[in-house]
Amino acid sequence: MKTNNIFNYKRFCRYAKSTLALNFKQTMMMGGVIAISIFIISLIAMAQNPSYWNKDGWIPVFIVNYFVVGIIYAGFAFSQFRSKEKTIMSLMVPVTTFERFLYEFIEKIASFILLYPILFWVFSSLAVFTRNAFPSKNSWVEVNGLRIYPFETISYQQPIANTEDGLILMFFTLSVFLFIIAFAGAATFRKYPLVKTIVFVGGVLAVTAGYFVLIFEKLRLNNPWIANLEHTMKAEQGFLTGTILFALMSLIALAYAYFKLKEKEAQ
Amino acid sequence: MIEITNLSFHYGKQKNLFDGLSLSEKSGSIVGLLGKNGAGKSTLLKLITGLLEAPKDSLMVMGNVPFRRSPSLLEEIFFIPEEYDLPSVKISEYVKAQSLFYPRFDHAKLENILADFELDKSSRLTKLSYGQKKKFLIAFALSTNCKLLVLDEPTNGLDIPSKAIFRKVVASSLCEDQLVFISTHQVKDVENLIDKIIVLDQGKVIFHQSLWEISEKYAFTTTTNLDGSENIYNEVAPGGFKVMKPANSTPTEVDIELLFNAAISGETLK
Repeated sequence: MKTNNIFNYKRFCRYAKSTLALNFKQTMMMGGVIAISIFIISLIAMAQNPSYWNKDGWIPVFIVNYFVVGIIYAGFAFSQFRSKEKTIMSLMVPVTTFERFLYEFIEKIASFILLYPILFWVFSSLAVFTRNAFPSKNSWVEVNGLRIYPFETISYQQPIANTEDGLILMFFTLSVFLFIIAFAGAATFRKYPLVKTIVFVGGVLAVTAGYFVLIFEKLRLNNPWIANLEHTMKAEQGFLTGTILFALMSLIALAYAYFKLKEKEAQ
Repeated sequence: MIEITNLSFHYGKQKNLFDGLSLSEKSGSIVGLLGKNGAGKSTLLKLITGLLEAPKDSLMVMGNVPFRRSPSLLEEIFFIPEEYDLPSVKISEYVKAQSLFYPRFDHAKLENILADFELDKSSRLTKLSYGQKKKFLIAFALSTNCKLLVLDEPTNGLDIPSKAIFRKVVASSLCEDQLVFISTHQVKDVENLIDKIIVLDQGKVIFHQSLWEISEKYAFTTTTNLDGSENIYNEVAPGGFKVMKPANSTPTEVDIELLFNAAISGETLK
């Protein structure tokens, strides 16, 4: 019987099971590093500005850590192609390019996005308990003989409710886009993919920024519609535009990564 | 099983490694692929296994373009490269995870070959020596029962008893519908195992015959003095000369090393 040459659910599950079994140690180690980084950064944030943590001071910690760790983690995608020997062993496994690609996408991007908020909640809470268990001078107040510790565990409910419509979605799409860029870089470059991707993307951004500076500042080709954009466009429209732009660029980067993987050779 | 027609191939901007190479091979053989360093043996194996892209229509394996890497084809090919990287898991864990991909995987055969090679299933792959890893890969490859087994320098790193076991397990594990391609420099290691010889030189197949045909056409002897005219090829050996000449009535054992040297020396071997 001829099996499907693009995607076969059973074969994909088999591949996922096999890859997880063979890379279990590395996956657990990466998860551990992410968890420890959340724990330590939360402790540092609490120590630097004790009163700030409870007033949503954890949010920048959450966001910065999310972007940095997410990009690094996505940059570790396709680690089987970092050496010729591993490439050979990997390319000979009977799965399609799409199945291989989908597995990496799920492991390095989708699972991170889904698990990060849970990991952050668990390990920042652990940091809060640790901090409260070792109170420093004046880090607690006494009310009716009861010690009340200043640091509280985080809650996602309020920040989500207080954020402007569309902003979270735009940030989410931006994060997916950045992770996919790192992911595409990992599919393209064999050695130091993340460093090379950052240099490449930095170069593209510099050229783009230079182009717009030239157009608007030096050549004074400023269009009044663009100049007044921040006054004419509503915030929600801006967020929606950003979301669509990042989503489109993500799709292009994903397609690029897929074709790079499809063309992979063991040279 | 393998059809190569007028294959030309080069890496990047380098000159052609293969130039109009053609080759056809059916199942039911153990083929020895010989060639000097840099002749392109490993490259040819990578092209056959789809690890490198061959020009359009120049290479077909079991009716498929190997570079498309369709799972149905990959289920029927197992490649042991000269250098490999195995994960840090036990042999038993690796087998459990990877055997799923091969529909005819024979666990009993694996047990037997591992026992022949004195490998313990509870050993961690990364703790094994280079030779032990190779023995494990050979055992795994034979147990997949793939139709095409491609082995690049399989005896490199094997100790002397293991080389004999290698010959024994390969010869005893194969079926008529299988084809084994063995690329090697160590011709002595595959003597009495291979039944066809392909010699690659300067981008082409310069010799492609079965051992049966060879022994029918040529005789391989040693002599203390060269009597000249009949010899196709000779070379100095301890105590005299090794000589290759047209076969007479008594078949002789094929000296693959001498045959190879004759082929690449430019002698026309018909």
